[in-house]
Amino acid sequence: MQEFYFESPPTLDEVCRRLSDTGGRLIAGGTDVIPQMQTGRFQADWLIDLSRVTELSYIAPKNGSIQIGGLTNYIKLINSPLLQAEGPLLVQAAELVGAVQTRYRGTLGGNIANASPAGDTLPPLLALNAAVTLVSTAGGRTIPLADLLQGPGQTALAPNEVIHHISFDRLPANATSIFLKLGNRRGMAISVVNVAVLLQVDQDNRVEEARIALGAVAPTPIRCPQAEAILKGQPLTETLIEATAESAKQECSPIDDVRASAGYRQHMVKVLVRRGLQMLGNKG
Amino acid sequence: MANLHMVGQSVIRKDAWTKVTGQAQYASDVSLPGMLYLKIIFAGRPHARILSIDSSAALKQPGVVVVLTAADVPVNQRGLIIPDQQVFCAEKVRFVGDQVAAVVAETAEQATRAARLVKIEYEDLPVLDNPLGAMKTGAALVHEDKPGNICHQVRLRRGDVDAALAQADIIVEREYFTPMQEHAYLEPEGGLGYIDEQGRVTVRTSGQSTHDDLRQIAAALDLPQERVRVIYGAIGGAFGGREDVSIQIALALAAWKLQRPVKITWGRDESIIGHGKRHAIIMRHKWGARHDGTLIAAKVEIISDAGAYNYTSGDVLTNFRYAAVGAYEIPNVSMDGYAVYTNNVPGCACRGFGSPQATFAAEMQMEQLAEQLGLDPVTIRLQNCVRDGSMLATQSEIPRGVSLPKLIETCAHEIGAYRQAGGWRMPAASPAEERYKRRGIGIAAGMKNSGFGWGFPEGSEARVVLHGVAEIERAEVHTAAADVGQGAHSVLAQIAAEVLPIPLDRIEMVTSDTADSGDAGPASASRLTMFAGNAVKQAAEQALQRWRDEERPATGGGRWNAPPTTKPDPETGACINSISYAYGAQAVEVEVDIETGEIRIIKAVAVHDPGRAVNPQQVSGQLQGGIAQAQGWALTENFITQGGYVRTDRLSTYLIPTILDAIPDIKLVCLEEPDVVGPFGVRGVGEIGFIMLAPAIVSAVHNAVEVWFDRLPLTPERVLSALLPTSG
Amino acid sequence: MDNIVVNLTVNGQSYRGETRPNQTLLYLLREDLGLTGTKDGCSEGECGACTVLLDGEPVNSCLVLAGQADGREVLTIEGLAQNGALHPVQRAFVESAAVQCGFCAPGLIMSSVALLKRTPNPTAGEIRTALGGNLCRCTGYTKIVEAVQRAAEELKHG
Repeated sequence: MQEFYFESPPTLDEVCRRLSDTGGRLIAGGTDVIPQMQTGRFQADWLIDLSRVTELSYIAPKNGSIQIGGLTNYIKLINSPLLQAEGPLLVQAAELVGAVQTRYRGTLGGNIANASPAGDTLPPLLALNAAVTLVSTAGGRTIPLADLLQGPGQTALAPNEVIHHISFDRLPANATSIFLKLGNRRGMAISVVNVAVLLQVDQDNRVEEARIALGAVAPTPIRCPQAEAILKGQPLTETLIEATAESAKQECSPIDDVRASAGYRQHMVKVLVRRGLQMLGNKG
Repeated sequence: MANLHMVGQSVIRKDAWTKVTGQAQYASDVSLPGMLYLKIIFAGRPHARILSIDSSAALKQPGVVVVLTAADVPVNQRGLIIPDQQVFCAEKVRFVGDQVAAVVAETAEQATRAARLVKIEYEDLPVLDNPLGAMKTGAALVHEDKPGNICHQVRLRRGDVDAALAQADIIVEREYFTPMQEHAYLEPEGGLGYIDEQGRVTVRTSGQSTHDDLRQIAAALDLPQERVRVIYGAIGGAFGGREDVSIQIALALAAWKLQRPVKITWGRDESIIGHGKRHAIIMRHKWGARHDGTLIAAKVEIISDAGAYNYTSGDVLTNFRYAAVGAYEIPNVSMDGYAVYTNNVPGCACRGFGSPQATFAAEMQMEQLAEQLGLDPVTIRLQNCVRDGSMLATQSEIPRGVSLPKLIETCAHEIGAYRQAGGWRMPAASPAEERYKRRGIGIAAGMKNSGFGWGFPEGSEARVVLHGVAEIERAEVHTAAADVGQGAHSVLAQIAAEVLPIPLDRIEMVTSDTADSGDAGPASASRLTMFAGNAVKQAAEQALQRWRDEERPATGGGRWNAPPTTKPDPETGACINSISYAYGAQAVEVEVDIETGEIRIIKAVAVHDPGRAVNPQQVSGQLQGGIAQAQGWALTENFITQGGYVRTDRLSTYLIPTILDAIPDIKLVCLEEPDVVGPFGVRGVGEIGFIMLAPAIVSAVHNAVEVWFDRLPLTPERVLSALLPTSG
Repeated sequence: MDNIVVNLTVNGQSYRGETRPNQTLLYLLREDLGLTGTKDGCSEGECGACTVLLDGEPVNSCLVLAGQADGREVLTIEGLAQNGALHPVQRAFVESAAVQCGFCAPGLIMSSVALLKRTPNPTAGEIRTALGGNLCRCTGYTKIVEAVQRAAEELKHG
């Protein structure tokens, strides 16, 4: 691993200050940063450790939204009664990230900052219309996650910005959601395709709101606006589900890699979107 | 066998305590004061001429002591069977993991950093990335003295195959492919080299045969064998992948040259490109049978990817002379086999030594025949499988005590099949819970030789020393047998305790040090419990006799020689190829997701014959472990190379089964039919659990979705593309 | 680059030392403290052989910088046995023959200890989930599941 200077400040203010002063980079749980430093993909002269800033580890309702601190680990997401009730898709994704060891160390903010196209929590957060609040010595700003993610490993984060928290509006009682993941192995799998679906269906089986997000099939996790539009206002029938799934398939642009071909990934988008919608339809 | 008090007991293994407390010392766990660190520089390209090597920049780095290259190696060659590889490449490199140079420095980081500064200029040569291309006329040569890139060629002729095929009622002709497999032992290669108190260059490492390592080190360093010493500590798995040397010679050379302790530890990526792989093999089969299912002819062509160097390619290929037709007796067999040099990572020993590949193709042929003849899979196997009196394809009679028919019947019963008029009825699979899933059941059988055979003069050395005055207070068992994790040392102690009138806890194992023990032979070919077991038994009996003759301490031992096998006739392959076999039958129930191609194994039945289980708990461990490794080979382990480059050189891309993937319900049944050679009737069980799982899975998948697969692994994508031939 | 000073408690004993900033906790344990029971199987968090408990939580020590462990408590395989008596999980691994080559055993045992502290009566499914990050190539995992079940029984009654 390359050499670097290291500091591990106890407070957020200090992290921000040292980040600005040194022009360094952040490390939190380290589950992505350290392997990438081993291979040279991640480089930094200064590494500022966020892992002591425990004030950023929380899940709390706030003014009609739910806020999750950037340093919140996956285990905390999984064990949160609030998220189990109101963001099951995020809980399901967290349960499938890496293995237990990764779920203790890895953080939600880290999953966002790493910006892997296959990052498991990203499609659920996109489906939740999550916004990310960033802080730095210069102040703070809030930006939609969809705008933050810019490409594989690329975000709109300025070098001196820290992910303070992620927030999304609380959902009405009739909202249901699901996360489905396909990997080449059952344990410790990296997603070949993952899909998050969020649905609100009224009493007449008409779709009030539909959000579909896909992972590992484009440079960033993406939403499927056309597929969502097909659903909106319509009764949730098998025909409609099929058309929606087909649309989602057309909206993605996967690549071939060591895990799967682009063609397989595209086809799996259709299968998983269809399954997700069917499962939610059956629940409602 | 009457009145055994220790053989047959599931006693706790001797090394368990040190392993669960972290006290066991593996190759990288030992250090010496003042030691240096070694970094080996790989070719990093599949085929190239070396134009120049410039170490000057590296040598100027802080802490760097020396840069070793070909010029530093007294006899620059290595190879377990034939010396076709150089310790450090001088003129050209033949695969990405070829070793070109090595840096020795005061710290590991300094060595790694300096290694990047060794400037090696190459001129790339055409890359041969598959054996079919390499066999073509005009193809570049991997080794200039091997025309056609043929590393080995073997033949077998029994009866008149063409005449028999002409008379067959049915012919099944298919081509199969099985992929490379990475052993993925959890402990990457490592070791410590030093000069011992008697001036011997000593390598403490993990391997499968201390004495084979020693011979190759001594030859390369041009030292008499007495001046070299190899010691194994705790070994973190092997599965055949440690049969060939990896770091041993470079480490010995560095320690010898510098007369200082030197340490090396490979990372996982270095391990994956640095040691051999299970051979990828193309198998072309044309079998003929009668209407009633009786096999009459098999014509087989085998093309094995030897990779860049021989390693054990010739021997793996030779095993096809009996194994190509699986566990079946066929009166007319012809087999032509080729091991072909390419620029891939060399093929080497890997649990089963060719038998898993051979058995996969043979079992698939049986399934095809059964389907086309309208026979059930149990009946056709029982009708043709080897039994007492059977002649193998090598035209020798199979050793007596063949339990296979009984194992197949038991396995069929256990999975829910039953006998009915005219044959057997396989059970229907349980219904799947989702509408997009299908379940199916499949069964397969197989056999595996124990010991090398084929005329290799085989045996094992051991020494037992009894201490005490009036009574035996303790016994030392000296053996170089490698405990690679299979529990060899514990099982050998149990065998000694069976012979000696003292309890197990008074038997001390003195192991795996060439300075102390003679050659026990490698931990390979399911052989140690049989061969080293016989040697220990013989040594204990002799020591006990001498104890009774009042010798104090009483020492017994020497070499136990196995009954001889014979070399195959080059034209017909006729010979006595092996003295002992293990047998097995396995059945699985799988669930296939027909929309994603994912396969889940719901349950498995495995019926095996350990002859006499010395330690039943360890026997079941071997079988369960073999099954899991075979599951990986069949389903998730997709070793990808592209133009000679390995694309799956990490455990995040090469996917071995996790505990979440492992078959949740395995029913193991052991039926004991004592072997004629093994001590107390023991048969080797190290490999047999692996042999027939893959074909059982493929048969079960066919039962579920009515599609045959001729290639492994069954990745979701491959399965789906077969189910949906039109999809992208 | 400057060395950093770390203070941590390892197996109940406090440790203070200097280390390079780019060293992992795994390296610190193995090379500086000589606690070689924690194994390095991949250095990228894929095999779990380096699992230790950091403030009671199972983590891959190859994915924690030594500096990140400063001020924290680490439990390694060497710290489990008390006065020569094996921890019930260790004993269960021995008795169930869940150890073959044993290279994965320290990590598996630490993950199992962490599981049983939080979930004293785990189902087979919970055991598999908890050990999903610990690769074993020898046993096929059957005896490992049995060992954790055995340990759970013993902890309940013992």
